[in-house]
Amino acid sequence: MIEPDAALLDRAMRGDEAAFDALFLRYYEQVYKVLFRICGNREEAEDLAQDTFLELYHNPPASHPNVPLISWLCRVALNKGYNALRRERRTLERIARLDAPAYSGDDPAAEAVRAEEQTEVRDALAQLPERQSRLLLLRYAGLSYAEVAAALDVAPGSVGTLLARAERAFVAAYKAAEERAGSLERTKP
Amino acid sequence: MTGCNLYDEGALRSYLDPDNPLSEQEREQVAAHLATCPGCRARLDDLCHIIEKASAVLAGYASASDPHLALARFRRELQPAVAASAARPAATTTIALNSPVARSVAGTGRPRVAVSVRPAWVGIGLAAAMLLALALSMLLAGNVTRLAGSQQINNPDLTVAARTSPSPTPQPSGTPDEWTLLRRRLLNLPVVAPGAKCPVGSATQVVPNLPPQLGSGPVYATEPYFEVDTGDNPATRGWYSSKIIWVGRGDFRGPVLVRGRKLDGAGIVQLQHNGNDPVEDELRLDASNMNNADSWASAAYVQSPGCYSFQVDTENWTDVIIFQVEGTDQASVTPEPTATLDDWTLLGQRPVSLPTIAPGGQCPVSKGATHVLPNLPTSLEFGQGPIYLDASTADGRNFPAPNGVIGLVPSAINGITAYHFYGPWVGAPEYTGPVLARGRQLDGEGQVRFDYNLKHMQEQMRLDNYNDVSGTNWRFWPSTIIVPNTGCYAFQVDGENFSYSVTLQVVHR
Repeated sequence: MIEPDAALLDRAMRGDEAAFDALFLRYYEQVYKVLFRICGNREEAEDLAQDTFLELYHNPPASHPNVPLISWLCRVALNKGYNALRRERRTLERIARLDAPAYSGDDPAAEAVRAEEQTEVRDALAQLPERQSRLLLLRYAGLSYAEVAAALDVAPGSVGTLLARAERAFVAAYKAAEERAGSLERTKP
Repeated sequence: MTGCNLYDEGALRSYLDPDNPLSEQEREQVAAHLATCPGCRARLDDLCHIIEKASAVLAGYASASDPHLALARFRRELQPAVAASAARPAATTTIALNSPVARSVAGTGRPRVAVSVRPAWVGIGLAAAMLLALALSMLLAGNVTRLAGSQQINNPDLTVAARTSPSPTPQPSGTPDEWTLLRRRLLNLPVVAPGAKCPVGSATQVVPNLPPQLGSGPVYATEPYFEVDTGDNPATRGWYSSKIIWVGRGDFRGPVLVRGRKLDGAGIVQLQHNGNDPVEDELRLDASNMNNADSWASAAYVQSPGCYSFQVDTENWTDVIIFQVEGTDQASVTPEPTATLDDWTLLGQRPVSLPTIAPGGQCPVSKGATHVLPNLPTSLEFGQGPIYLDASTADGRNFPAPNGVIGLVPSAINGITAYHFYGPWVGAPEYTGPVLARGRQLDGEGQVRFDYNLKHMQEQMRLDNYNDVSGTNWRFWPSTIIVPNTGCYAFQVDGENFSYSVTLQVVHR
């Protein structure tokens, strides 16, 4: 039997460290993915993921059957990620930053291609309304429709429609980003 | 034009989603529509390409750092912060000794202070050396306090968290509340042999204009006088009851938790603020927002004469107040028939009939069974039903226990370090009545504690209507079972028409 989040959280709130650890291990990767796509920087994503779980540790959500814990975590992570971006007021510069390759492959050429793709992805996400980019970040971090709905406070039945629009907008923005990158490449001496 | 009514794009998107968020009926509807609508099939193809493109660039490239490494970092960075706030107490060593900063206890004239060492979080060597030097100096002065009838508890599990830092960091919001922190302290009361003299403390007049008081403070109880309760409350009618006034020393502020039990036999103490409040197994006194009257009226209820004790936990102190309940003439008043006692009382009156085995003897472990739960066939259940102990997971990790042997490592729970495992209980739909679970070590003196349903460190577990197992009529109660050491443990499960036991062996993993 997989221990339900609510039971783990209940025990964690009463000092059971193992229960908290189980929640951490259960959801860290999804939280990290959301943050990495916002920050484009592994270290910052890890820092913000730590902050997110610190929030869980100190200010756990009240038990609510309609809000899955992962939705709450991702909502906190999204807020932290976007707040970090706003604080620095250099969103575009940060999106273009390539200092944290996500893959640790040995092929430098592949790494460079991958880093370029990441830049374009974040560039495309930055072109979208924040609501759409949040939706994509959550869904592609693995949250279910219900979890996405709870995290963004939208009706579960509307997630499919919102997702279709966001994906369409994202793909268009990504193509534009690719073209911009290509034209920049062509203008290089 | 497509020649058909275009289907909602959200439904088409959901139809394509690998997680299949549509119901079976909705899927069938979309499929039927697609079969007849070329326009929607074209839109579906378009959506499919969009999703493929989005997935190709959005999914999969953000490789996460190792969650275990991240967790190690989290724990590493968390500890200093928690140590500063003392939000989650760890096992501590407590030393009772004299100190010029301690207050004087009425009736003894001896001041005392409890000093807490947090090995993991403070400079253990320096702190321990300082404490040792301080303790030695006080011992040499001959001032170590032992209070008659009111005992200062020196037990790592009963942390008396005196503040060693001059200005503790305020507790962050969201951490366990003050009552929870107090409740984490184990009820640790002495045992008195049946018929032996009850070590009642002497009452003193700490606060004037009230009956004499028991205890060493900072919260005192007026000396109780128990008589058979003839009130209207069927839950306590026929019990012995006494009004008790709790008084706090004038400068005392903070939460106070009072619990108790019988010392010379099996018996509980029930407490109540006043006649309109529920009767509970604890009394919570909040001295943080009092006016000028540092007192609280209350009532205590016990079922039979004998030697009893309160454990009084405040932020910095744990006090034990022992009192005797004697049968009086009024005790001859015929108690109400057992029908007036609640279900738990009735179940609790059944003796715990568990065997004792010699240390090192073979543990008669129970055999687990799968395919008990209808929707979780691989779950491992113990017991003959209709209530089963589910022991198939421990803190998210599977452990094989079909033979009733559970491998554990001690870890922190409720502020103590102990062996514990997540052992929820499940109940078959044919039985809907109350269930009482109790347990103890068969090959030693270890006690069992249950942590459940927002209660914790309870000596017994009461299973009432709590949760349904999703999609079934089975009932489900999350619980953690805590034992102090490895050994052979048995749990007696009592319901209205059944009683059986489950035996598990806890070994060090």
